[in-house]
Amino acid sequence: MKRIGVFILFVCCIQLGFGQKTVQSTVSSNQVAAMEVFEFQIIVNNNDCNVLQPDFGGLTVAGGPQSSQSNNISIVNGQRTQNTELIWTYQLRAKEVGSYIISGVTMDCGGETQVSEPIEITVSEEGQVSKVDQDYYMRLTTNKSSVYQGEPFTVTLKYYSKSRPDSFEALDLGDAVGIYRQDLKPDRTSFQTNMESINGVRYYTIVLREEVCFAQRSGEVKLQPYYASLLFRRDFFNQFRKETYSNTLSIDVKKIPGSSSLDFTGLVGEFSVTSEISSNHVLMGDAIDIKITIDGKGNMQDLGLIELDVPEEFDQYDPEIEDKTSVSSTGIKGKIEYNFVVIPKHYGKYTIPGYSFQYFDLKNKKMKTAQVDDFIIQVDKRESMEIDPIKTELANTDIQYIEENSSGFFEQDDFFFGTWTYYGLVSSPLLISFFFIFIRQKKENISDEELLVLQQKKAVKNAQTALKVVKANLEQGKDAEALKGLQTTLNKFFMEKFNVGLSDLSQRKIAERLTTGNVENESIEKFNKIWNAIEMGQYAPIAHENLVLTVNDTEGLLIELDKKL
Amino acid sequence: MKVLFLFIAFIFTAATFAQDSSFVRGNEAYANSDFETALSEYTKVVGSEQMSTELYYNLGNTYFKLDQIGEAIWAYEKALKIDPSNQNAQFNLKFVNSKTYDDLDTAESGIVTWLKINLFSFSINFWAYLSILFAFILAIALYFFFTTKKQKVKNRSLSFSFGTLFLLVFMILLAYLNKSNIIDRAHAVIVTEFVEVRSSPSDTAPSGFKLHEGTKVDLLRSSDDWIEVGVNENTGWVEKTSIWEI
Repeated sequence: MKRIGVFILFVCCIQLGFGQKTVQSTVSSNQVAAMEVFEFQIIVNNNDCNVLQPDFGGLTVAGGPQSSQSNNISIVNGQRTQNTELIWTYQLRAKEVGSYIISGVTMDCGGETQVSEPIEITVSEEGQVSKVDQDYYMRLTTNKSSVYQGEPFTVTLKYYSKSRPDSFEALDLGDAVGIYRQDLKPDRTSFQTNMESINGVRYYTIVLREEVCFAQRSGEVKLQPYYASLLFRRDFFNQFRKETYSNTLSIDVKKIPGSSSLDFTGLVGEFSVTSEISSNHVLMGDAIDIKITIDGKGNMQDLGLIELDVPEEFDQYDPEIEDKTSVSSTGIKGKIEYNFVVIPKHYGKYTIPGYSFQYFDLKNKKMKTAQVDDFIIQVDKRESMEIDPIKTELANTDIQYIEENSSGFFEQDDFFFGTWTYYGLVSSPLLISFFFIFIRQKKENISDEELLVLQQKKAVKNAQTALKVVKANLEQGKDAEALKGLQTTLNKFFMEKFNVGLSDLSQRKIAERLTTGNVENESIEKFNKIWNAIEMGQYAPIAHENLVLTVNDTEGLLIELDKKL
Repeated sequence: MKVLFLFIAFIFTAATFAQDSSFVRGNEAYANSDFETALSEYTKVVGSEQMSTELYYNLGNTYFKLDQIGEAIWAYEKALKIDPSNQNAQFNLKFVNSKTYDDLDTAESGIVTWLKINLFSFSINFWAYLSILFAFILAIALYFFFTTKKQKVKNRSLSFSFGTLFLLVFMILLAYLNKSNIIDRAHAVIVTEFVEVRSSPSDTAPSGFKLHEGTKVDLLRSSDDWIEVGVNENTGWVEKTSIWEI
């Protein structure tokens, strides 16, 4: 507690380890009311330099300086570090409303001078000082406020407090829609407390969390306030808890030019792809290992599962994925290996198209393609192996094409079916058939009387036919044959006419039948005459002329008889 | 049989020549993706009351390309009515049906579909000519049956006659059914985006349900500008302008 205007300090202390010589000036608050007393401190982390009191710019010194010293020994990884801090504290006060500037504190270390930042103090009317808790707060900051979709950016959550935090209790991350974030130090168990001067006010700061983020959509994305709860020591026995929310962090995300390309999967950064194949020449059924390695830096987590366009003659299994990446502030770095196993089921020469993808090169702001060559595989026949038929499925992506030719146009009137012509044609064969059947039936079912009548009707015709033969014989001079024929004809005529047998046929009986049949006597006589003539002719030859006459007579008689009978 | 087919083909030839030009022009326009022209050319053929399964099939494709789903379904249904075995039309109808909103179970039973595909795919006139041929065969068989005296022949011709008679009746029935299938309009397709199905033929009648473009409905009866339709045992009245009869 020494009061000095200008002072030079020569304090000798043992300083172990190393530390840069710094000078800092801080105030307890840079927004004060008129006549309000606030503290101003000069902090020096060594004790072998000259420190000069600054110009307070019109502020009056209400008290001080009081000096204090603290030694801080820390052992990190077995290395011992000792920091010595010298602090001089002043109580200052502004008498009038306005803006005051406390000039920087100059430290002279044997010719090497350092000046701390000047501090601006705003003095307002009493009661108008904002009562916002400036003693404990949390800030969410980013290294890039405008990024491309998929471009990595880091977000830091820093805690500021006037007093030294005692312990860390809880942290809750705010919502981050459209952002993929990954903790840069997921295994962290302890937090390092630093000192930092903000606008001349000195704070204890702790980086609670550092994360690398990737925006997954364009437009504005937001990190909602993070929550943290820390414990502070009031005095030796008492602790108090401070719950704090951070600010909301908005990031402007730019769309990647040309991102509508089909091959673009959203990868941003720098990538390369390599491939390995176990064999290009195999037998059917032999497994082939194909390894695709993607090496790069960027949003590799978006790579996901990749697919090889394997021909359908191959069995393909899901790849085994080996992730050899690590998270860094510039994105996810390393390589991911995809180990595919394919088994050919059919012989032949096949091409598996090499894997390729597009990514956005952040350095050149250009779309680039990474690819590996096609795999050409020769598969040989294995006699002992059966070939599974492969089902070919038609892709149902569009309708079938139109028909170029039409088998035929028709109108409703073109229908042949249902017309009268049709009905006529379909029924006529049946009608004709039935007509013929009817005729046949009629013939077959004829009665004896009807048959007799028919026979009698036919008798004269038969006789006339027979007589023609007789006449022909006569002309040739075959009189005997003609006579015989004449007799037969006559017999047959009466047999048919009277429906009797040959034995019942005698001259007398015939004459009787003729008489009962109302035949004129003249005709009967004529019959008797002919009959006699024939009978005579059988014993004694008849003159040719007479025979001709008899035949003619017979013909005439038969016609006459036919009319009567 | 070949001769019969040639004969049928010959009968159609005259009509084919008359409609060739519009049909071919439509096909050319379609090939050049000028679907508007294709539609007007095909419509010309339809307007002349000519029909063929290919014409309606191509018309369906054109409507589909013009994004007129309801009309496309109508045209495919028409094509299948003429030739139920047209596989391209079956495929396209199924494809376009998958783009409609109403998911109704309108499929006929498997046997009916099978019969239709296998029997209605022949032209009606084919059955007509075949039935005439069978009538001749039947006539001859019957003649033999009634006139022969040999018992063996009689028995055989009798059973042959019965068989032929059965086939003849079957063919006539089939031709009749096929003809009424083509001529009768028992179904329709909704061609407007959607239609309110009302409980009676009036604008003010309460709406029972909605049907969307491309839905196939049964036609029941009509009254002025309204027509009663049935769908899945539900019935109701819609305006005639909102449907196209198949």
